[in-house]
Order: sequence, then C-alpha cells, then structure tokens
Amino acid sequence: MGQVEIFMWKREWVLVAVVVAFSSSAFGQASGGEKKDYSQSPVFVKMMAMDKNKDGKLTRDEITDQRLLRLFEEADTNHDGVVTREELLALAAKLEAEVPAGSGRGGAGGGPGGFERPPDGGPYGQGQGRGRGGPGGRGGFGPPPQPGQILPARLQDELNLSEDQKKQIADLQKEVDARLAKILTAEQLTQMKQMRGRGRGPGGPGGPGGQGGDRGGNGGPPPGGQGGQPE
Amino acid sequence: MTDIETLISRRTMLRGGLAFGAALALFTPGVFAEQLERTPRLTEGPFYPDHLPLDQDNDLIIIGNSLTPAVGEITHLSGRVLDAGGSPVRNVEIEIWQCDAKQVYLHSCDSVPKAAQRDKNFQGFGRFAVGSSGEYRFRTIKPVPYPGRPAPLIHFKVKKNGRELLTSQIFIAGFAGNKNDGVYRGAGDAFQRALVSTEFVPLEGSTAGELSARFDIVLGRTPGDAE
Repeated sequence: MGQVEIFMWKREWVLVAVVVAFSSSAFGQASGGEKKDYSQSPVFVKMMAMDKNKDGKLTRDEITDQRLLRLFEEADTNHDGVVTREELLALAAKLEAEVPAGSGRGGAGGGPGGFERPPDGGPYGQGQGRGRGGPGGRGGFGPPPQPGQILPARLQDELNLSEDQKKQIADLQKEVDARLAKILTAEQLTQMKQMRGRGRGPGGPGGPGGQGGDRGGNGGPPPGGQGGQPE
Repeated sequence: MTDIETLISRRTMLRGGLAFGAALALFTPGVFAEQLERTPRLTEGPFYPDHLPLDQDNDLIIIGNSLTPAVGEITHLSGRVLDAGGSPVRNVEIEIWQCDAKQVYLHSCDSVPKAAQRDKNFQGFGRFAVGSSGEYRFRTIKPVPYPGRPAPLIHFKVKKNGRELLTSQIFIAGFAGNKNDGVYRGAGDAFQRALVSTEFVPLEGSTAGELSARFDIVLGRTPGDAE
C-alpha cells in the first residue's frame, strides 16, 4: 500500500468514527457512569413529535395515535392532563430501564437493506418503502454458561423453574461438581475455576438499523452477538 | 490532486455524507410525525395450529355449542386495523392464537404430550373478518406465561385474501416477566415495545370480573389499491 492510500484509508476511518460518535451521542447512549440523556430516546422524540403547538408540553388532544394515550397517561404522574418535558424524560428513563441495554438477548436485527419489497408483497407492502429499518439488536445475553454449570440462574428464571425444580438442579449440580472433581486433575480443576471467575466482555453492539423496505420481515440476528455482561 | 486521490476523496465524502444523512434521518424529531408508527413484526413462534379447529370464530371461550367455558380470565380484545395514515383497513382478516390457562397450545407438538394438562374447553385459535370500520373483536382469556416465555402474549396475524400482511404478538403492558422474555426484549426500543403492549383493564359494567384490552394494529403505508 502506498503512503497516499494509507493516508486516505485513515481519513475514511476518522470520518466513520466521527459519524459513529455523533450517532451514539445523539441517541443518548452514553456509557459508563454518566447520567443518560433521554432527550434523544425514541420514547421522548416520538412523543414530543406530537407537540403540535411547540410549547414543549403535551396535552391529551395532541396525542393523535390512540395507542400512545397509554404512554401519555403513564407519563402524566401528577395527573394534571399535561405531560411536561421532565415527565416525559422520566417515562423514557423508566421504559428504557425495563430492558437495560447490553443485558438483553441478541435482539431482532435491523430491517432488510433498502428499497426492498417485503416478502408478503400485498397492497400495504407495495412501493419502495422508505421506512426505517428495525433497531439494532441489543447486546449479549447475561453471563454465558460457565464450564460445568448445568443451568445458569438466569435461564432457570426464564424457564420459570419452581423452587423444587431449582433445588433438584442444585443437587444435580453438586453431583456433577463431585464427579468432575474425580475425573479432572487438581490442576485442571483450578484452571476451570479460574475460567469460571473470568467474566466475558460487555455485550456486543447492536446491529445497524437497516434502511428498511416497507417493513419487510424480521431482520436476522444482530452481528454483535452473544457477549455476556462483565461479572 | 491525482486522479486516484480525487476518486478516493469523492468516495470518502459520499460515504461520510450518506452516513451523516442516515444519522440525521434517524434522529431528527418529527421526520415521521405525519405517519402512525407501524406495529412491529414479531416471530410467529413454533405453535401456529398445525390442525385448525372446527370452530374458528372470534369467541375462544366457548367451543361450538358447549356449555362449559374455558378456564381463565375472560378478556374482550378489540381494536382497529389502520394504515399508516390512520385510515381503517378493510377486507382483512385477523387470526389470534395463544396457549390455554394451563399453558398448552393448540398444536400437536404441544397438545399431544400435554393432553392431560390442557384445557379442552379453550378454542386456542380464532378468526375475525374486519369490516369497513377496521374494527375487530375477540373474546378470549388473558394470556398466561408459557415455559420459556415469561411474558404472557397473544399471537396474531393479519391476512388479506389469504396473504399474510403482518405477524406479531400482543403483550401485557408492565407485566413483570416481560423483562426476561427474549422476544419482548428483542421487539426493539422502549417505544417499539410499547406498540406491541396493551393494558388489560376491568371491563366496564362487568360484574363477572371480565377484562378489556384495546390493541390497534397499524400496517404499512397508505395503500393505493386497497379496495
């Protein structure tokens, strides 16, 4: 690669990085311990888009989509019939926290690439949709199963195990541990325990939102796969 | 500038510009304000009935002329089918299916192994032909969690002339198990999740503890040839 080419490549990367930084900060996904800014969250942005008279508040009659009255009611915590910016930010924070980013199972990936006809065609799918693709998948799914672990606690919860079943699994785990201890050498056991202690990295980033066709199909799994949360 | 440099820098600008434009389109408030947000598509799941029941009406609580109702909290599920412009969509059909109160689906892979467990009085599947108002209505049970699916849900499909326009699921807003449910979590951001959720509230005037749930379904863009 000639020097000029390398220079150009670098420039492209810088541009991409700038765009990525811009998008992620605009989306309010500040990471780490920073306080999140929900003013760019979908709940806030899409609800505020209904503020017809642009007074920075929502009133019931401004909610033109019946489905969103529920969100309006939920946001109006002092029941004065007006949803202020602060109330809406609080609702956005509450709803976002319901499924924390990065701890989810890999979500539905972005919609299919642009200008595509949806699989079901139909009158509602005709035309070259300019709809937004689906959102990127969320990060990984909890901590990964550890070596020798039968059912991680999270999976047990998802499977709705009863207390009795949980106890049986715990007993089985003890049995497995005991037998593993006989099969493996002391050194291997220590090594395995060290592996257990080692948390994986944070969940992968979500898949990019595809510039969707007219809502064609569910996207594939996100490329940012099944990383776990740091332990 | 040499030719190659010009070419590369044009490409760079084009890419940067496209990405920037996409970022703006995605994050500028009000861009899609004129249109209703479409109901997110969700997976059909493994249990769309493999043998449709004889009775496929919109009352899932009573099968045929049976006198015994299904077990569960009776729910009147209703709503409208709209296009993105907010107009009612006519001449479509809605199908719903869900597991019974004993957590068994009307699918041989589930109902055969769990034959003893299932509620034989629950229809498990129903259809409704949407009229000119776009309104639909079902009588069913409030959904319950299913092993591996901590979020209770009702599956639905919208069809037109047998063609599927949308397949998705209806969740109970604020239900504690939602946060552990893979499909719910994968439904998108908090706003998208709200579009596939609704509240199950006491039915006005009901003394029998029946519930009511409203769920509007928004399909794609305004069709030019809907009729």
